[in-house]
Amino acid sequence: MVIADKPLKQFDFRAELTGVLPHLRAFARGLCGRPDYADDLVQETMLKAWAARDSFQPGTSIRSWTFVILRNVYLSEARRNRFRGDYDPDVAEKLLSQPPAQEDGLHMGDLRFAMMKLSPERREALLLVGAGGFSYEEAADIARCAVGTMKSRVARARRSLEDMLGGEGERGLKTRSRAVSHTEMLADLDKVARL
Amino acid sequence: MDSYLDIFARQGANKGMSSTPEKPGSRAAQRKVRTKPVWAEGLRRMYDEVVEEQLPDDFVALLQKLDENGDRR
Repeated sequence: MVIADKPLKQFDFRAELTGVLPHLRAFARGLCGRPDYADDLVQETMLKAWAARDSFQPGTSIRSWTFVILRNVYLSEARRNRFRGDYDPDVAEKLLSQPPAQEDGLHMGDLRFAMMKLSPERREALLLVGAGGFSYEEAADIARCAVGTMKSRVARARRSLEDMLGGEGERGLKTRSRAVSHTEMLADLDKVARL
Repeated sequence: MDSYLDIFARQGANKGMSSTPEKPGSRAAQRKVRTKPVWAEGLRRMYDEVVEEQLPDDFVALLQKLDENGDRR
C-alpha cells in the first residue's frame, strides 16, 4: 500500500497564515464589532493555528480552517465575558450621528449597528456568506451546523437587516432606540457554542 | 487604531461587487426579482475594507516570533 506521507513541496504554513490574516481580521471585526478586541482574537487565533499546524491539510482551505479556530476563540472569550458586550454605546452613538457618506444612500454606521443587533449566529452567517463569500456548505462547515440551518440563518438575518434598514426609498435605521441586551446576546452565544 | 468611523469615513471608489450568493429558485429569489439591496454591498465593503488594511506591526512581529520559535516547515 502506498501512503502519501509527505507533500512533494515543503508547505509553507507561515506564508499561508500570513495570507489569510487580513480575512481573519475582517471576520473577527464583524463578529465582535470592535477593532481592538478583534485584533486580540486574531492574534490568539494565530497562536492556536500555529500550534495546530500539523493538523492542517495542505490543499484544503486555510481560510475555512483558521475561521473555525477564530470562531472558537471568539465563543470561548465571549462566554468568559472577556469583553463587556459586543456593543459599545459610545461608538454606536458616534456612528449614528455620522452624516451619510454613500452615494447609494446607505449609512455604513446604520449597517454596522444593525449587524450588531442581530443574534450572534445570524450575524456570523451573514458575515460568512454575505461578506466573506463562502458557499452555504462551507459556511455551515465553519459554523458546525447543517446547510439548511445556515441557509435559514442567512435568510432570517437578511430579513432582519431589511427591517432595520428599511426598504427602498426609506433611509436610516428604524429601530434606533432599542438597545442590545448583552445578556440576551450571551444566551445566544451559549446556544451556538453548544451545537 | 482605526475605528470603524475612520474606515467608513474613507469610503473609496467602488470595489468589485461580486454578487451575493442567492441561488435561483430559492425563496428569496422567488419572492421578487429585485435589485440587490444596498446593504448587501455594504456588507461586502465592510469586510473588504478590513482585508485591504495594512497589517498592523504587532501582527508582523508575532509572525516573526512564530517563525523563530517553531521549527520552520
